[in-house]
Amino acid sequence: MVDADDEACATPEQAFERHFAMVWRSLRRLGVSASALDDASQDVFLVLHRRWLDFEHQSSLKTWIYGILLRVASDHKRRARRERERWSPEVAELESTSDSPDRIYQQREASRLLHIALGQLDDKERQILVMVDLEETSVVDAAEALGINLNTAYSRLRRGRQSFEKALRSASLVKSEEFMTPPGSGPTPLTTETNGE
Amino acid sequence: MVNERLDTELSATARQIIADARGADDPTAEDEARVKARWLAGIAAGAGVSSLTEAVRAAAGSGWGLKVAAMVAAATAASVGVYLGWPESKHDARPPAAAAVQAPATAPVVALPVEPPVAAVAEPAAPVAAPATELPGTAEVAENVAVPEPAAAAPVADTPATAAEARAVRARAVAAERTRALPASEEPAAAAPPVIGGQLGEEIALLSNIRAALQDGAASRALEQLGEYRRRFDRPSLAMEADALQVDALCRAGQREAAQAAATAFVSNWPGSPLQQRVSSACP
Repeated sequence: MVDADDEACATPEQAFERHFAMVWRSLRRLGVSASALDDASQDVFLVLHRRWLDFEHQSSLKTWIYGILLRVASDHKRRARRERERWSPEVAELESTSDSPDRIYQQREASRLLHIALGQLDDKERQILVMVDLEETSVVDAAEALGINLNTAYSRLRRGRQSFEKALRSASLVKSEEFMTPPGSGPTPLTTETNGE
Repeated sequence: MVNERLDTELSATARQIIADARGADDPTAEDEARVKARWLAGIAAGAGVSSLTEAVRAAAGSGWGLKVAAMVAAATAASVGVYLGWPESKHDARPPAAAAVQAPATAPVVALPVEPPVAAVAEPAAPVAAPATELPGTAEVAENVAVPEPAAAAPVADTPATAAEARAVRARAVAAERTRALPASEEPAAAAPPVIGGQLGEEIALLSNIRAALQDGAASRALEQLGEYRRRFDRPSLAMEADALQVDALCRAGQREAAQAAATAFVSNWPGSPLQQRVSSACP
């Protein structure tokens, strides 16, 4: 799988096409503000382009890119902090109008909770949680992208998941009406019923 | 969802939320096209970070931003960046060829004491031989972009162990050679095929014409060309850059009210744009 992935990306441009979405949403979920996403994602690929020859195929391309994006994300956030611009959860804009209102509402609500909860984690916990639980990276690859050893990765992930659960519980208490008005129908209750994907 | 067995797994609720939120943070096709266009333009401009403002900020501190900030400064000083550059001083950014092609004519001369090129060199195979079928843009550009690094040849590994390294060395050598050849100007510009093809290449070319017109003080010509830009490209990739130039052109043409209106429109149309500050102060 790793090989197929890398083989499919013989050039920076192909890497862009294949991994842009992952870069974009991960930056967002790592706490880069929506207004800085253009710049941050562009930076990731500028770095990728400059270092393209340094990529040695010892890790998967995705892992390598993730390493870059982690640095870019913290760089942007550090800068934002310096400017005292706080990261406040912004509700994702949803362009896919083909979805039913219920589905959109459900997705927004989930996204809102997700962002609030992620915002409560410390950087290290958030990084590994986003990689493993949201991007479905293996813990081994995540450890490599983070430059930490496997045991550290596991214990960080364990802590991260605990914090995340806790943060989700408190986030659920925040009224969504403060953020948005649901379309037409009343608020659909979160979770419980599974429409398996 | 959870791909490792841990003693602390996420609860079903948490997993459901993650599943439900899937797609919510994905980029739209427009996001992708926009960033890609700017990325390619950034490569062409030799930019290391996403905007001049960013560069200045980066220069004020923090790690990797620092070295690239210097490169950006070089690139913009030489006014090669289509969207980065701002016609504030005279440079010989002559139009016709795509902006990127002109880069080597000016930018590298400014050559700053940047760290060894994190290898501005990009595409391995391309530099010397095959005119890059796969990524015409970047490969070609890479050569040019590599140029600002005069020290390029020096830090190169002594024994290229792998093919990739060998290619890197070759690419850097080419870059270094170009650096030397540079002041003889027109050479790369004339020889190189259009760096970025297709509509984006045309957009870059036209916008750099417009910038050149502004530098020459020909504001009304710039305005005409901006009109042409809008007529020609109904789905432009560099609309933000064009809008920014519009403000400047209007102001320089003495249409201050229109310029201010355009600046206001810019701010609301492009929230968070790195060009915002410049646009706002373009017509005081």
